[in-house]
Amino acid sequence: MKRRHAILVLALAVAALAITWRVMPNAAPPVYDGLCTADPYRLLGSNPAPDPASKTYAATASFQTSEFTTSENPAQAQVLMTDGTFVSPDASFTVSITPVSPPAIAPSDGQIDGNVYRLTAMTDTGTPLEPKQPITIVLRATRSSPPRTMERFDATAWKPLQTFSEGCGDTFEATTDRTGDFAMVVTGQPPANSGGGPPVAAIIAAAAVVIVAAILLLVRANRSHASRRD
Amino acid sequence: MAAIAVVVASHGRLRVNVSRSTLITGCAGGALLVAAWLSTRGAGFTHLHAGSPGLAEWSLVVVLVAVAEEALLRGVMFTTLTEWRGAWTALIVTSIAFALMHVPMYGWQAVPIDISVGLFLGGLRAVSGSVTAPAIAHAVADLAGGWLA
Repeated sequence: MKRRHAILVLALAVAALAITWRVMPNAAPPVYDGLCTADPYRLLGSNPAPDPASKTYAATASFQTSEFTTSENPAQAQVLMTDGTFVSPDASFTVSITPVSPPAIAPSDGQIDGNVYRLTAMTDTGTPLEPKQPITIVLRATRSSPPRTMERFDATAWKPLQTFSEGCGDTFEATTDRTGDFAMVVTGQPPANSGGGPPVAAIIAAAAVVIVAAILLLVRANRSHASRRD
Repeated sequence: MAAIAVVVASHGRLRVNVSRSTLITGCAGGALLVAAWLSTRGAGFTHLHAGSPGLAEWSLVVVLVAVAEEALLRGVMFTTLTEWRGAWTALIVTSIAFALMHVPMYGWQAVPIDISVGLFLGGLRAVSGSVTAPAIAHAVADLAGGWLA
């Protein structure tokens, strides 16, 4: 292949990447493809139960970048906040994310997959706080295919948020500027039972196909090399 | 391990070349992949996980997996297919193989993006003439995907 053709391939590939990520952000995993080991998803009411998570902050006018996660592997809920997300100059406060029972109203566009998590921020005097900056929430689903959408319940209906796949462990992330109840929603069809981790058999089968193909090619190439030498 | 076994059995088809130009090409390729990814995400979506426990071990595994994949696809397979049917065939077949390898982890919806990534890494292989550049780019992109997720 000529060098200018190779450079053209590079340019086209970058354009294809950008377009693909733009057109189908929900379906696009990160480039990252490291090994992922995930425990089975913990549903509310099952044993072991899903964990809540919280973090308490001292009274301050300047809130530092912070994150906290539940303790599962991978975490079923994670909260990430940037500078200035909460302002509580007079009282310390606690930010929590807790698995709760789903509200009576179901999403209109699909079914909840996994637990509903309630995000709250409360001062030690009992005053609720609302974020001043967007908060990133990472939730795990029971599966990642078909892609899930994170939705927020606003007391009357579920509203979808722009959702990105995090890849490993069927995790998804979205930003929100409100506290409240959040859940992963699968649209169109009900989710399959929790798999908990990558499909090992499928991975082995795919790897075997590639390896066998590579070996066959090598054998063929070696034979043609040998015949040319003869 | 199977990928490494194929590479060992490949009788010199790996095409490793560690030179300044391949290192620069690899790093630039990795930076482009990361930039393309970050450009589609809002500012609130990027967080440095530098202090996360187990990050060093995770990073080592990710680099090993990335290098093994590249040694198999853009190393042995690319060279063998180029000798057999030419570089364009090698580029297309290795890109499809790269995408199919990731279906079990990410599902079929990831095929378009993984074919694009495969074409990009194959382009790096063709430009540099070595597996070193796509291996570096792949490792950089994978590490960034974890550190900045």
